[in-house]
Amino acid sequence: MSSYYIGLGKQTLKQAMVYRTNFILSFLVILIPLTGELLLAKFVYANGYQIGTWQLNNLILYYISATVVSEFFAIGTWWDIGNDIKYGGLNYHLIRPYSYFWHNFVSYYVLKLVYIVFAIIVAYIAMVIFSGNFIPNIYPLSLLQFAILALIAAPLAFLITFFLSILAFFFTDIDFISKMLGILLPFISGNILPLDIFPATIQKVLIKLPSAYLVYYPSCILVGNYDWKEFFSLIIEVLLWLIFFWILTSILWFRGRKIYEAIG
Amino acid sequence: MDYKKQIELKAVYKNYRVKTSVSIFKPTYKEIEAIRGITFTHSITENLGIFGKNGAGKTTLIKLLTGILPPTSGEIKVLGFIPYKLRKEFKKQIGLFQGGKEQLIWDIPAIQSLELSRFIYGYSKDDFLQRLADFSKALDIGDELNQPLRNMSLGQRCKMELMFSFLHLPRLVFLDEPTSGLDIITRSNLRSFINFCHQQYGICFVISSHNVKDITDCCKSCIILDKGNILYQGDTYYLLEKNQRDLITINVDSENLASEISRKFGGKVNGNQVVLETSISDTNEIINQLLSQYNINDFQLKRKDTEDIFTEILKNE
Repeated sequence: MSSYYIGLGKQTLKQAMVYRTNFILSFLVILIPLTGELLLAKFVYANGYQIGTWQLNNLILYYISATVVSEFFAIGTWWDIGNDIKYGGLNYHLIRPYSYFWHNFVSYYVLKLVYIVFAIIVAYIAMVIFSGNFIPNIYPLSLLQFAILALIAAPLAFLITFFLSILAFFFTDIDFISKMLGILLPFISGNILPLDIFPATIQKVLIKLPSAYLVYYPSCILVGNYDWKEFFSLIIEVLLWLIFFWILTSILWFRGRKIYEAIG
Repeated sequence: MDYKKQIELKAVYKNYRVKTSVSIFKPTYKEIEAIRGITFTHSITENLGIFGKNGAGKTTLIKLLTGILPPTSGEIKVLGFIPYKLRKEFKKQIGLFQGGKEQLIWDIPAIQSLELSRFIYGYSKDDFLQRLADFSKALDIGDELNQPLRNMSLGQRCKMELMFSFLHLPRLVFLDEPTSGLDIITRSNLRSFINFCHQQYGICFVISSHNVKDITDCCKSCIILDKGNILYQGDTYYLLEKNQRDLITINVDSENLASEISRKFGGKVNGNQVVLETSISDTNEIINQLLSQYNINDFQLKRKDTEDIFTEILKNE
């Protein structure tokens, strides 16, 4: 069955190439806010102020990392799944010998991988243009920790997206979820500001939400603020969220299938 | 009968809950019985047609048989499996085509999209190319294979989607309105293709259709559904033969004579004309009697077509 997911990945990649103009232009969506954040940070530090305990170079690296990972580990509703449920396209998937979850996981991340390659290039260009001679200092250990966390964060991000998308079993329209998250997520995930500079009470809540494990922690790890003990406790917390959403999604899928109308 | 070679339904009901009023606080619902306690057994050695009016329950029945929907009550077994459990072994043995519902990727050449079939069902590239060549020949497909679906006509897209549904050569394929929206030539091609696949690869097709010819041309057995009930289940040819009628239109000199003929042989009078409906075995005898007993100016003989027969069966219910 793994050959199916490889084949699906190749087809999705070909499909992504059809929309290459859309892909390339959509990087402006990354470039513009990132530029704003970097300029603002430079301005603040140039006037003798500081954001929390962050040094400018670390903050720049944090912003670049947060921009890239927030694209890769974005959570929301995926219209493919929502439409399958709403218009009956799910019928075909149900009768084929593969997992609908993993089918979408592969399609989703292949598209994301293509996107991320371009996102890194864009982020690098932004860094060179707006940050002068700053060269990010990334330690191999941080990179290793980042890679391990990313491997667990990817299924968690998709699991949450899948969970939100299959709410289409219960609601006729789930667009409101994406719209709501689009406003809320940049704040609560640490995309706009590192979570540790929020007031203590808010910070306590935000750093335990799943969104923090998808943007804030991976970016902090890349900056190099974690020893192995801290890292492992972080991994356990992500795994707990993963198990929690897995159970929740399984229940929702089971109940959703019972009321699925299979329109068409 | 080998239970792994049959479709078996016992007292199957399927109800839908439908919203009847929209309200923020308390929307109201009502239950609709789409399938009402149907029972039948069918051997997959021959194709099965499902015929009925809109809302008769044809598509719901297909969804129950494929496992897309669970029955509200009753038992369903297909190839020895309970469909709704959607076991992998069951899914490998079936195919589905729903007219008007796309399953292929629109933006890449059709051949690349079709190749996903071999990844899903795990057969070799050689087998894929061989089947593709056979299917393309039977469906009269040429260079279109290298075009994206978005650039194809409805008929071409339909052929591609149909191929994709059973390139893996399953034992059982469900076709829901396969010829819907197609022109008569394409419809005829598709029917020939279905018969070709049945004979060549032994695939059993379960075809739900509004189009009588889809059933009569491809299915030895059929089910007629009406409001979720089975009106008929059995041999298609027997059904046609049993209900086959000839229409004899006779012109005579006077209305009195027309009425007299009508009284003796039945039929409708329209001025100097009488229209008699006879079973085909009696037609010759009746014509002989009419010609020998009455002064007949002329007469026309027309056999009812299959569409009329099915329509009448449904109308009589």
